[in-house]
Amino acid sequence: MSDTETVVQEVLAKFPALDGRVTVQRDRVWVDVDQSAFAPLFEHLAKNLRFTNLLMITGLDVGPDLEFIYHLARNRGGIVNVKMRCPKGAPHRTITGIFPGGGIYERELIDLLGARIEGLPEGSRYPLPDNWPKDEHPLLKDWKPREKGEKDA
Amino acid sequence: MPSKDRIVRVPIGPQHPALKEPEGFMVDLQGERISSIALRLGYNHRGIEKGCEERTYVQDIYLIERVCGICSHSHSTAFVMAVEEIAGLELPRRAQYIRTLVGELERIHSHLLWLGVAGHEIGFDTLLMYSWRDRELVMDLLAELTGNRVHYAMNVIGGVKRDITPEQMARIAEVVDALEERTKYYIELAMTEETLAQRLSGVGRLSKADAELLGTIGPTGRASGIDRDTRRDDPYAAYDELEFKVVTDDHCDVFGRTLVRLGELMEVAKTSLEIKRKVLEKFTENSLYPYTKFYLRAVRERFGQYWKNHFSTIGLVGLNEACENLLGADIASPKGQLFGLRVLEFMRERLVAFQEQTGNNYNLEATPAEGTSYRLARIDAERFPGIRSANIEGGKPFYTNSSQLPVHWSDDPFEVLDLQDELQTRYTGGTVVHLFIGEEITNPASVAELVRVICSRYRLPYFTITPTFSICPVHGYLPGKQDRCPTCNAVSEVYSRVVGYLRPVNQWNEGKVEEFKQRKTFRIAQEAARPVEAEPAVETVRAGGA
Repeated sequence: MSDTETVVQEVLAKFPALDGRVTVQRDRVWVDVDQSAFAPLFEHLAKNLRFTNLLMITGLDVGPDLEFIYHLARNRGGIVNVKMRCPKGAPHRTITGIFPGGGIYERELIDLLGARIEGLPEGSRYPLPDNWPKDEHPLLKDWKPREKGEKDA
Repeated sequence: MPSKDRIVRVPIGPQHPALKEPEGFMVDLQGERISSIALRLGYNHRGIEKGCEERTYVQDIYLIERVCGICSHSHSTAFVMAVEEIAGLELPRRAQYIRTLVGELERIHSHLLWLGVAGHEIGFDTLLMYSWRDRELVMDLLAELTGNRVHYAMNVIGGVKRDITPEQMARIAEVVDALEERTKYYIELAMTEETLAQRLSGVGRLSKADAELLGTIGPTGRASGIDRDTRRDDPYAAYDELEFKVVTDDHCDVFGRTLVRLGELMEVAKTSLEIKRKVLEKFTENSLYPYTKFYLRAVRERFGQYWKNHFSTIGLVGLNEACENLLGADIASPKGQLFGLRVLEFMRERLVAFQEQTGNNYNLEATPAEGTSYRLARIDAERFPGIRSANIEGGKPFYTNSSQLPVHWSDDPFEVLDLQDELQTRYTGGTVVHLFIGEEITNPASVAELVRVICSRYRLPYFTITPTFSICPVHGYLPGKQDRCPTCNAVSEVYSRVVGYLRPVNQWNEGKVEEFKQRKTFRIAQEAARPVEAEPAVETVRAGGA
């Protein structure tokens, strides 16, 4: 049995409800999970299945929702991508309890996509400048850069 | 005088001569101790993601290549691979290899750049000049192959922009040979140059656990023992067909070879311990240890084995002499300290791996090695004439305990503690520093003060204050080393710790007796009487490597 198949079975053994939502693309495992089931799955992967490396978080604007993809790796090979959608404006819990280094990615989600990440430790915003308007999130699809010479609203 | 509780806030950056890119650090200092640090990043954020969203895939390659001027090829490679995957393209093998080649040349220039900057930051600008001179070789080669020194623009969707001609291949081989020679020189330098060892050893320590929590990757992660390299673990381009070694921690020749050998010995120890565990378990089951069987019955109920919660222990002896033989300098030297730390870190990591492989507990111990320290030194002296052991010319051979300093190294306990603190804290099992003193300290308050000072300044887990004493068969306790009783002149027994426990010196083995002759006793009483300095800088009073 290949490594990816083992991971698929390990995930399904603990979360049978995810049947049909765990897929393999090339040598990567994808898990598509509802926001309500995200936390226990994520913790299980990081703590019990040894996915101890948070590589990065991808954030996407997919219409009414934001999509977050958490890319996790094991030492000596194996990547799992956990895909989760969260309605725009709805809160989502931070993962810094498990990966303190993940805070920087979550701040990016907040600044660039307007995500509401709850429970982050105190700290400055990232990566936009301090005087950037609070309600402008440039990676949302409907946000357009101003033309040259155009005045701020 | 500033109060010890006062916090001084020091802003470093975003513009600062020591920073290569703008970053802001707001550092709160309490005395010399950093109480907190706030980080501000993003000054260089140029909105490339949004720029890419509004452009075509082909235009994006050029934008993405400009994420970074040091690793431009890595970024464009990641991007074109994503586009190729979406488009379902299959690439010619030759293009994959050219991509890989440019990637590896980029790695060489990046490492040489890092080495130069590291030299510059520690005030060793000669190293900067040397390594950046050599970096020119690979930069020029990249310009020859791609047309540019920094933004090579070699990647296109579906392959690479230029082929490599046979003449260019010969040129690559030539440059790589020259760089290999230079690299050997740098490795030699890293091994022997005191400035480097002193400035770098013990500085910026990042444990494996912290490195993992913080998502540390690349050479920084690998130097903390994280065995992870995307080229091997998730191969792209032509890496699946290339043979290469993922270097973790052991990137220096002698160090590396020694660690490999050490790893092999530890495998032998592991196998023996696993067999021993099985035998013990079987004996216990068969009631050969009836009391143990009774005491451990709850462990058996919980884990199915009587000895499950017992540790298998691996230790070491004579690290000081290993340093002297391999490096030509003792464990107190910067090289020796660095080597000692590497050895202990390496052993710790192997033990973690053993735990994962076997499911049993393993720990690293500063083995007492009462008999072994003599036996191994004796065997080695026969097998390798000229090998150094801890004895003085002509004396019986013995090795210094675990990673301790030679017993005659210093009579200043604080000097010894400074040099042992980092090493002692690496053990996961038993370890101890014995502060041998000639005779008892008569004033209990000064012993108490000494203990307090050591506990507040050092992190080492255990230490003893061990006076030598003698016993007259008739008159009993005599302070210090007194071969004969002053009252009745009878021959008395001199007691000290042979390893952890107290035994009359005349009953020790010959190696240990030799060690006792060399033991220097510490100037404790005077030290304890010395006024204790201001308290707040507890962390920084310890003499670091730098």
